Amino acid sequence: MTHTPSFFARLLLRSLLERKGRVTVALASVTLGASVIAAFVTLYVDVGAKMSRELRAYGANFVVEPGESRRSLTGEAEQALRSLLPAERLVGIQALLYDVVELQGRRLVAAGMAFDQIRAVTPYWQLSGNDGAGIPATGCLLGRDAARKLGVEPGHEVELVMEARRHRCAVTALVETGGAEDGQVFLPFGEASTLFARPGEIDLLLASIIGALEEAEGLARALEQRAPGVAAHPILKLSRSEGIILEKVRAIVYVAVVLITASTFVSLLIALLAMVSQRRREIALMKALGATDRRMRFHFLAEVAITGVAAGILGLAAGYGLANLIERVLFATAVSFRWWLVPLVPAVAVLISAAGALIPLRMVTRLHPALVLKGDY
Amino acid sequence: MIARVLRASFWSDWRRKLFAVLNVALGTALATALLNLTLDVGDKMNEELRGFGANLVIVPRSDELPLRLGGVDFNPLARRGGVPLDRLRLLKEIFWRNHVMAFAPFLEERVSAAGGAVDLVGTWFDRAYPVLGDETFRTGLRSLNPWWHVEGAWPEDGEVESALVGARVAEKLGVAAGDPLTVRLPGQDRDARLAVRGVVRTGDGEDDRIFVPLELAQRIRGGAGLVDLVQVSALTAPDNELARQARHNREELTTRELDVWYCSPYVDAIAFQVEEVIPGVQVKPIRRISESEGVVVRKIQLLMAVVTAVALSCSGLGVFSLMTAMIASRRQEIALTKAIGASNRLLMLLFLGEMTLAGVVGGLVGYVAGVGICQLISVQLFASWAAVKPGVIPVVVLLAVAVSLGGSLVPVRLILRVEPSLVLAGE
Amino acid sequence: MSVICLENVVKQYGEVRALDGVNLTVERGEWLAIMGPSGSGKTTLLNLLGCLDVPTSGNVIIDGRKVAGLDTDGLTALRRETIGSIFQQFHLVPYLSALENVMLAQYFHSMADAAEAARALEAVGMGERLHHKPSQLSGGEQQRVCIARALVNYPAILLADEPTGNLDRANEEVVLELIRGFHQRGQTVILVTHNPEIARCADRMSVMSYGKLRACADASPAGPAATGDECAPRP
Repeated sequence: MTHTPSFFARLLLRSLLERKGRVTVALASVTLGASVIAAFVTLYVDVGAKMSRELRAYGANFVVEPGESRRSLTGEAEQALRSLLPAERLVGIQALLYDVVELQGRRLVAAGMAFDQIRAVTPYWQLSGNDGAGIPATGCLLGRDAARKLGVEPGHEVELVMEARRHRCAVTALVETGGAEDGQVFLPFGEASTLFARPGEIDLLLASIIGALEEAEGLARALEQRAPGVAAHPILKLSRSEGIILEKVRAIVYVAVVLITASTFVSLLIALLAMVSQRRREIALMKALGATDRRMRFHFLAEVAITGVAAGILGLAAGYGLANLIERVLFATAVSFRWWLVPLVPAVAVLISAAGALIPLRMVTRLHPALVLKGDY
Repeated sequence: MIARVLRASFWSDWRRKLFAVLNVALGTALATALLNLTLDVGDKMNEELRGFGANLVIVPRSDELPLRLGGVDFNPLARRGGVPLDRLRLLKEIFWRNHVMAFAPFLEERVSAAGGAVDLVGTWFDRAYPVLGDETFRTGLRSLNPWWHVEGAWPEDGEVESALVGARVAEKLGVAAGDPLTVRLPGQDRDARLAVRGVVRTGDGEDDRIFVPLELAQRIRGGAGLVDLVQVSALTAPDNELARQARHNREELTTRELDVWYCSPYVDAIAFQVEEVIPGVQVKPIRRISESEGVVVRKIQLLMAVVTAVALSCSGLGVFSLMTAMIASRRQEIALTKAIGASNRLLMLLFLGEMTLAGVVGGLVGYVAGVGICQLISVQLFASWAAVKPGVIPVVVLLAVAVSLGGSLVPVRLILRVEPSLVLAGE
Repeated sequence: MSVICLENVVKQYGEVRALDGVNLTVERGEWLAIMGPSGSGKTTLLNLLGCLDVPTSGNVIIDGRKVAGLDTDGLTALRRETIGSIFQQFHLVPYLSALENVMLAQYFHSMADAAEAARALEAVGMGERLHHKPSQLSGGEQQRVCIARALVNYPAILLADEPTGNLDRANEEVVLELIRGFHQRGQTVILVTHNPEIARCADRMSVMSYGKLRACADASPAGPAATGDECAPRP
């Protein structure tokens, strides 16, 4: 069989142009399929990292404490932790210093902390009494139960007493967490160091980090080596739960991709079947003129492949847009362009088209030229 | 007569038409399955998030300030009253009883063991608790924390002298699952020999505690059926503006708003209702869990909404493509019926009628397929069967019909363009 | 030397016996007309002659090659080497121009050659309308394109199925003239028609009736002369 490329191309072009409507529908259906696949594959890849960041709403998932022989940590531990983790994986670090102080003659736990890390490390803290002004930078925060029991209201000036040292501060907001914090008082770290007379000491480091459980455990081991005398460990119950939730979210997106691909496949199959059944006469004529089944199949597949590639390229562009839209809606971030999708999506589109063409192709082969030429079609 | 001809015309070549209807049905079925899935999986995920642990805690109302620091209680003598154990059944009698997924009481005592003082916490592990009616409700530490990683086994509630030991205590005392652990119970003459059934590592406060059946802790405490605190895990709705307003100044809400708030499963509303039925207690949402859950649930709902929207538009396009193909392949038939006097309106109604039928069939098939897929996912992912809700059927069928009609609306106008003369002339 | 030889050919469609023991020999350069009422088996016979179908039993030998043993591709190859067809319904590809329709036949035969296709169209008097689409051509013009398409590959046999059925008197004459020209160059023509006047242009005439073919009484001098030897395949 000798092919004449120019006439072959001419025939393909004419045939595609002739059926603009039908080809457009087939193209649209493959394009949609390809774009949805591109979008969801992107989402599937991203959803882990993105949901992982969302799950950081649960707050700190990594704890650093003094080791057995030590009474407290130093700033070195915090430095070491920061140096071991890339900035984008570290949501926040909170250094805490605790002691018991007296307030209006009653004893309660006071904690020194960096107020600017509250949003990152303990985003679930409910602050009230500051007229929704966000997290205060100065003054002190009082647990809600403590405030109620002491009769203190936001804006009041309180005096914290420890041994002979006193610290006066205004209560800038009340804290409610449902945990022990409700009965404690919080003041900026530096002021707490002075009040407790424990300069340079840290009792506890809480960190919120992004990463799987194994990575967190690796980080803990690395940190214990880097800064001897510290004990670090992930909060397993959070990390493990996160892992399970992420796995399920991924699985759901995966199922969605499969089902959507299947439904695209069905609509493409329908479009192709209709295309073949509409062209029965033409196909029969070409066979009567001496076209072999093989050549007809080749011809038909070429049409499908062109549609597939075009749809794949369009779908890639549309899919990138769709992925961006979805992620903007879902996570308020843009997606990063993934180069490996560039060959993948058109390839998938062609594959879908080719698979969708299998049944219509059998129709092409089975079509008997004599039956159709009778005019009975 | 026309009606008869039309009927004959539309029943001719029924094989091909059946194929078309089945195709629509398949397309709608896929969409319906996806829809079903997204609706069901959203619920499932909410339940799944409960695995992070309790989101409410019931504590006695007291004037004392807790003074615990680094595992040391600086105010040990302050008895803070207790939560009456027998009132816990009320948790399964309030309006939101079906949202209460699990709860467990806790009673903490400090005891001495060979390696030093340790905290012993009496609780329920997995108890069949009788609730309203003749039902029992399985609850306890295990239902509260399904994802805890326990080496060995969970203790049985029936075996009073068994224990689940926190990992750090276990290291300190040098015990592992299967070992015996002797502790001296204050106020009792004899030592208790506990069988260590398992070791739990959570990376949090639990690692410093020894969990034992509640009865053992009660034996130490003496006293009537009071416990220190109760953890509750409840399915809640993510907070919205109303819930936030109610949290900060409930007094400013109108009566109507208050009713809406009271009758919605916000974490604060559930806490409020529990406080109403159990006197002398304070019910506090554990914000770490309840707030974060709201954020995550909202994300997952959004994700599901996006998936559903995409699925529906996909199947809409499928119907569009099918309808275009169907009308094109039936041009002759349309031209013929037009030639004998059928109006465009009638023909369009006939086609839309066919699509409605296809939608109904597709919806039903899709419902069955959707339930099937849901079950598959439920079993694989959530290790439970999905609840089959027959009430969804009409919704699903209506939606399938809407999709198949929506996809047909544009192609059906192609009928207008079919010229009877042209088609009969043989193209 | 006969170019077509049918020997006791039977074609069965389910219960229906469309051809019931047909014997036919056509010599090279002969023009045979086949007549017969609808449903008599004309189309089935033409399908066999055009290598579009194989017989249920009996021998069909076209241009010295036996049809019975051929698969679809073999049939297709034999068809494109040997047969040119024209139809009552023309069957032109609607989205291709006249020239491209002719080139299509070349393309499936061997390779498309625009100059040669244009010459074929000029030969049927369509040199001025190479780039018109079928919808822009009259019935007679369309049939002339069909003839150009049928003849462009120099077939041994021209099969014409009611070639003038859809044409007016003037165009009928033009088409017949073109067929006559082909025949005069020494080629074989098989023409199926309802019209006795047109059938009379042929060298001889046969009539199909209830699946059997018989020579017509008022046929032209050259009568049917089938012998076993002539039906033997070429070595």
